[in-house]
Amino acid sequence: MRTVSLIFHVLLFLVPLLLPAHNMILYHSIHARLPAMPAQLADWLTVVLVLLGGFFLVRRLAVPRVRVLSTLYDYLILVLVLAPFVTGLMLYHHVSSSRWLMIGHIVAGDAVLLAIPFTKLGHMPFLLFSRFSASGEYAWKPARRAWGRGA
Amino acid sequence: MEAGQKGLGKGRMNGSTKDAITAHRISRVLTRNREMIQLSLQACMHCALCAESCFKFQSSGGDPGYTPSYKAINSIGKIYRKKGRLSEAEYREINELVWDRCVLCMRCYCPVGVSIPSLIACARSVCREKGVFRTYDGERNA
Repeated sequence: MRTVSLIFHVLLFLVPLLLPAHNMILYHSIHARLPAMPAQLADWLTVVLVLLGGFFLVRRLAVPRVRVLSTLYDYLILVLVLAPFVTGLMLYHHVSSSRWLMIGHIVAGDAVLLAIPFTKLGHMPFLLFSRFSASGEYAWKPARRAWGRGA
Repeated sequence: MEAGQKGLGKGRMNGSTKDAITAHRISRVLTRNREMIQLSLQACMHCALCAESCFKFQSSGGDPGYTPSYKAINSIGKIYRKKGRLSEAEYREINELVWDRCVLCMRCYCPVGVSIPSLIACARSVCREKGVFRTYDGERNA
């Protein structure tokens, strides 16, 4: 589970940032770009990412200890995260020539970025501030854990 | 006035006064820990990875009711959302969650960094204010 989670999160950053098509748009707009990975590799990594997302979905539905905690919100977050990648795959493989697919891809991508500070997706950028500042044996702080103040 | 003081001194408070004092005390605990509770509930990803670090979960044979995040969400999470205004039956359920299903060994590990023991300890504080707590002489106060 931890390995799957790690690969999923790394790909979540790497694929959109190093995708040749995204870097081309970036170059046309600001004349600067990041190093791009080969398009075919990006395609395969996107497939892997969507499959790993599917794994999370199945885990939520099938594992009792995860299912009891899951709410509609958790499923929506997962769908929201996967939407730009699924639409991106569809665009790359020319599943439809409709411009609405492109619009859907852009809107889905923007929605994810906008949702980060206001939803549970914030655990990605804010992980460093939360995980390693909570007192514990894996944290930067000494391995002394305190119960809540006044609790 | 004297009679009132005498009554209070002997613990003969009327029901509504007692309830008001209890509600005030619960509200005080929740206010004091509001930031910690709110942030923890928001940060919890409902991933259930904490279950693997809980010996009570392991020894129960994988009963999802022993998952640390489940215990926290259904105790202090519920209390916080309803501002402590829960029924007696709900408090009894929470009593079981925070005392029988958790020993506060503080070994639960959250990948996001939520301090689950702090949440459980806070739920216990609220329960104590409510007069619902574990006794160790074979009788349970509820």
